[in-house]
Amino acid sequence: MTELVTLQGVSKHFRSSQARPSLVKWLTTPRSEFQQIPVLKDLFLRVSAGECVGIVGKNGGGKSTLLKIIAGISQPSSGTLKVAGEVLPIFSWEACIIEDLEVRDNLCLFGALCGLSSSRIAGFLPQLAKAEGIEGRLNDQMRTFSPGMRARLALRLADYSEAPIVLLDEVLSAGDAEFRRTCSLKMKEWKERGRAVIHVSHDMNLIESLSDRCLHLTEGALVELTAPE
Amino acid sequence: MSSLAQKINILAWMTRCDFKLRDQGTLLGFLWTLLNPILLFAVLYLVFNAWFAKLVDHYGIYLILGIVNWNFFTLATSNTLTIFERKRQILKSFAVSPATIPLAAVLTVFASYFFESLIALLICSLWVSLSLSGVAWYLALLPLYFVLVLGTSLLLATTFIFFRDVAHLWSIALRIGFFLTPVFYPLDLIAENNRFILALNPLYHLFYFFRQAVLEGTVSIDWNFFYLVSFTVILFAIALKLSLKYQDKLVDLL
Repeated sequence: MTELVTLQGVSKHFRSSQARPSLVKWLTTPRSEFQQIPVLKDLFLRVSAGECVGIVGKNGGGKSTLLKIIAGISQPSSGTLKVAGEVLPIFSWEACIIEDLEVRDNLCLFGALCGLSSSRIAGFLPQLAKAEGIEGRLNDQMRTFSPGMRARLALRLADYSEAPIVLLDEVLSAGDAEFRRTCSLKMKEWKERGRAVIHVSHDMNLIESLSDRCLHLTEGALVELTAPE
Repeated sequence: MSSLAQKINILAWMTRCDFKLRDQGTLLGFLWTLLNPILLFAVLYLVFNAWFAKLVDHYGIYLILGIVNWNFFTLATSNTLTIFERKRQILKSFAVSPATIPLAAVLTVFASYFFESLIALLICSLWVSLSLSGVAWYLALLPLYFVLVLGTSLLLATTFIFFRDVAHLWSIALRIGFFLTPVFYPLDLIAENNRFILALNPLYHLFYFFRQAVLEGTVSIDWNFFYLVSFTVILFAIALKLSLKYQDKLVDLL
């Protein structure tokens, strides 16, 4: 199987004073007070095409930071990362939604952020609207859509991306039972289409049911758990 | 899609969405944004015309060009200053090139400014007959002004990531800048031996060239023009270098 994601000795640390200081405070604070806080320590990970890897761990354990590094959003402090192909990060999209903007514009902006061309977005927008039953609502403001509906649209949009690597950060916790079922089916489908899927969650049962491999991120280190049958 | 095409696509959609939000995507919304410069023009014209018209020909033209151009500088830099903070969710959710975000913010204001400039030229034509070369020179100065504003905005947005009080300092700088740039007063009011202070300000020269283009139909390519271009290029290069240097740390700091 083709290796799509390779992490070798990846570490990440943040400075203790990550909140922006004022210019005066910065000038008057000794540099020694800015400590380095390790979040990820010397991680090794390989994910192949058609593989679904689940990562569990406590809040603040570095799961989201790990996904951000794989997505190229954040840079590792040390170590090397290799990704073969585009990465589709599905992280807290609901927070990026522009409430006062029309649904159509939000979808187009998200499509562009997912690496889709304008012509491709224009091509699938009517299909997407029909599939979700919102043909007459593309010009409505996004604020009129429920959080569940927004999550469904985001998932539908992600389906049009052809990125070989898909990263999901607590996506399944956003919707209802029906959404979780659709999302689970979609992840299986992506896996069968040869995509590498990496998802993080607090829910161990969910991770076990969907993943080929389960990893536990604890104190910045990855521990391989039982590989589900 | 190639990486460059992808960046252009993101830039285009961000600009479009920001523009729609700013002007509510309607003609009425655009006219609403014109209200601020029009009111400022009306008030300053009423107050100063009787006095300043004796010192400068066509004070109405002088004033409207000063206000429209100053308005662009203020709006674009203020809008971009906190842009990384306002777009933090996008930066934390997608691998977007950080420079795209301030660029889209400046482009959004520039789009309004461009139409405002056309309206200003139309108003100027009520006082004087505009020459084609004058309009061409005026429009040719716009890209230079765009780069100057983009460089300033990029520098401010990058600095704001590290120090939140940059916003406070910039609001003070803009107030001082309003009086250090001949927006509404004629240069004859300034003592000749003090004018060198104003001459350090690139906007001083730029505003002079905008007015010269409209009133004389040409722009003097002299040392002042060379200073303006050099200042713009150097400022933009520094801002870009700084922004690229810290782009990897940006998401961690937000």
